[in-house]
Amino acid sequence: MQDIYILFQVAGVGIIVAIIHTVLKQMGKEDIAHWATLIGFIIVLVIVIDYLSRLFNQIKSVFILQMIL
Amino acid sequence: MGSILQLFVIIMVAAMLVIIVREQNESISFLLVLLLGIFVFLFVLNQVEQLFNLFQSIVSKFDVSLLHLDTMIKVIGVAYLTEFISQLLKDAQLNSVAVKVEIVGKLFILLLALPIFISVLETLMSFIPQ
Repeated sequence: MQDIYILFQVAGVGIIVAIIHTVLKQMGKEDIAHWATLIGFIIVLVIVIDYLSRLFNQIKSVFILQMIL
Repeated sequence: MGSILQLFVIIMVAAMLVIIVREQNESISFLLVLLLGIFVFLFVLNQVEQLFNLFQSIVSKFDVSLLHLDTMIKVIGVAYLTEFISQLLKDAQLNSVAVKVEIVGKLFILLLALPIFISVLETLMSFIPQ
């Protein structure tokens, strides 16, 4: 239960990326705004993939699924 | 029962965060939903592990001939996993992919349950006189 603050971190990254996107769009740099959105998405994706692999490993050990997954 | 309240509070807070982020950024809100699902699943998995350990200790201690307990546990695991992924895909408005995931899950469950089916068939065949 100590990992719950990751939720707030991800939500914060989402809001900050949206703000950066809006500011860059107002400045007329549409392409850089899209790149900023993509990079924010990748940062969050790295965090989530880590937890997803942890979840799958635990599922494999609890349900005895070593041979089919 | 304190922990289940804790879990519900976490789910409510995460739902509000998802509602806030969804207006700004659709893809990150999907990842937030995925993260919430991972946390809930990990939380429940600890209890389920204790339950299965209890089952296996009962089976080994009292020498009950519960023959296919491992297969049952595997089928339950595949069912949970398939449901998790398919609900996630439905949340992301990918209904057709969710249906495909469910088909794959059903096929895997059929594959896992095939030994039980064969043993049932053998029992039935032994009742039939030659």
